[in-house]
Amino acid sequence: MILTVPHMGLLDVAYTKVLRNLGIEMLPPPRPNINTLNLGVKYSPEYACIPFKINLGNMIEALERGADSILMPGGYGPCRFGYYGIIQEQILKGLGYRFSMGRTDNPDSLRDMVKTIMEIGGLKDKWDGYKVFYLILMRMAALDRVLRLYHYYKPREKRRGETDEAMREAVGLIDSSLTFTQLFKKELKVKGLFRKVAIYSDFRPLRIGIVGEIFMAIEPFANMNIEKRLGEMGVEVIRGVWLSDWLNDRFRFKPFRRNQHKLCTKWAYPYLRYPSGGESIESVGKTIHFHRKGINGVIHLMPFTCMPELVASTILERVRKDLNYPILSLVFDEQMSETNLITRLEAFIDMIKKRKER
Amino acid sequence: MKKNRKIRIGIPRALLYHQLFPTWKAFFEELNLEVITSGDTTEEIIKKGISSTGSDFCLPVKTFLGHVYEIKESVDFLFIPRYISIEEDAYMCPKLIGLPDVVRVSINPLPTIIDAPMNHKKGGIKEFLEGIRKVLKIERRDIEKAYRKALNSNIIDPKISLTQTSPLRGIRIGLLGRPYLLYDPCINRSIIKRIETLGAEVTVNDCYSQEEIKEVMDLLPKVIYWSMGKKVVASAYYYLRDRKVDGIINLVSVACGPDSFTSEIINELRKKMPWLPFMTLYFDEHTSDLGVITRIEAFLDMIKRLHPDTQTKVMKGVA
Repeated sequence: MILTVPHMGLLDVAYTKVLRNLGIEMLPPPRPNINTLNLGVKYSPEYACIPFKINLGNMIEALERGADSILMPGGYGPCRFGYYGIIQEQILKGLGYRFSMGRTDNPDSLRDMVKTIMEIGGLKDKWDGYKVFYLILMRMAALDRVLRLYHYYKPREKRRGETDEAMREAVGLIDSSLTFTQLFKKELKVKGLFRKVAIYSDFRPLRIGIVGEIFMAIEPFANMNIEKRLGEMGVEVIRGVWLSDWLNDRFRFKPFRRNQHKLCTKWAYPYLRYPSGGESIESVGKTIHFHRKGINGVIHLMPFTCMPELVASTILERVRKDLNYPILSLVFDEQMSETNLITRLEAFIDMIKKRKER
Repeated sequence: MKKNRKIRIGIPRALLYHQLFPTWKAFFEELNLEVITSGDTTEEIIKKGISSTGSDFCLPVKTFLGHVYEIKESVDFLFIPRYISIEEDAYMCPKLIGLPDVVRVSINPLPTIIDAPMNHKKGGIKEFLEGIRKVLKIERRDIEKAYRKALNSNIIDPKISLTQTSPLRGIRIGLLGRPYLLYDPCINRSIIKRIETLGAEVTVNDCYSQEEIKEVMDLLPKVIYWSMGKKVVASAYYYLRDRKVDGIINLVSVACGPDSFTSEIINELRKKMPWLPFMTLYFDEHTSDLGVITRIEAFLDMIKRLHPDTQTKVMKGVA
């Protein structure tokens, strides 16, 4: 069995080595690139959302390279994500690929997730399964903490690119730790890595929140590297959606982090009274939260035809008027161009700067 | 001053209206409230709906907003229930779940909205009635009684009146689609009437019971978790299996999320049962009558060539 899982941000770093350590042959697809997108767009239904297309492209690339099993998360949400796996399997089988597809149809249930890991890893003991799963979760949380540091250092760096270098090293450190103790020890070194980056310590950058559909927010290819771009424009990114938060809401592995979904439901109540699937409630809730915290503006990322985020973006339009708060909704599809993104980001940042001067 | 007239409940004639209105009406009339609906969809209403939301909603949702404009001044309460899930393991589309909030933020000012949540997983019908009760401030006993009566009331299914008006037997066309697309002639450019004037008979998908739908779902690798999408796929399956129709037309609104996937599943079914002509028509505010007519005519001509024996019958119908 040569297993492959489509990319989603840094998630692959969290599990690849752990699963390899169990003796599973892993073949990660190449990081999403323009070729991935073109492949995905070519074979996807016209009105499918961009995450679906990128995932499908990733699968094709991995199958071309020799993978024979795909693991795809699923679910029973009102959002289309839960049905991705089925449609992708249909399309790929129609293209003549031979493979088996595993789906985790109930990602909310800890038992099912552990069972999946035990099945693919050939583990006998239940506790081993739990250990592996929690190690993956902890590694994901550590990676998210690295990203937080990255967001802080990027706009302040003196020499462009130094933070990215530190980031790469830090991710490497976390990637190489295969037990809980190793992870703990190596994470202590991560801060040191970032401290080496020369920064303007008295520089007060603009702070802009990023909310939206989770794949768009965490996959740099899908959002055209928006975090790095903003950093280079001298803006500190405050991200509202984290994969580790999403996981923590379900599996409670971070004892001091509150359930973000519940918090957002509370914050969003005046505008959106019930979560309408996906990250709609997080988008609205976090935006209102960012406004209270004094963050200068919010960028809302959504894929074209995304149903939950469409509801959120309609509501954010009203939030913008009511709170007099800069919110930029960016809709991504395969037609989105880099120039378009840069122009809009620059205009948005200029606008916020002007507002601050007033 | 208000005592002399009944409280008025407004129900926009769009989206779930086409499925559930008779029950709603019986329910509110049992509570001694007056039910007011907006008129049939017109171009004017659609225009109003489009102008009130700037985002890429599908046409039925935009139409719904237009209908809200139509009646909001003449009612005391607007009934826009939040149908999250009406059966086990199935949801409504996220746009419908967020509908009350979308209406609230897009249109201003508004009468109070009754947005009781109906969630099969959490609270179910009890929570739903409680939500209505809180807004209307009526006795719990009354509301439960009204609900029971409403369930027993005769639900008139619009499909019956549709299939019986067909002029004569000839080519049979099976229509697939969501109720709010099929039964709103302004959104679907009166496709049913147009097919019938061209001499073909129309069958509409809403003919299958829960058990029959479940049977089809068991054949699929995974249950479809959209209540309406489920029905569409099940009907497609039965059309294809029973071969009682000569062709299938699938109606989809542009940017419909669930249908972009259910159409794929129907395509897969068609690969296994490849014997019926199939056509998908997309509807949005730019769809023109002529475009629809041209495509139906071409589709019917193709079927006539496939079945030379039905040709004569249809020709008679046209003459």
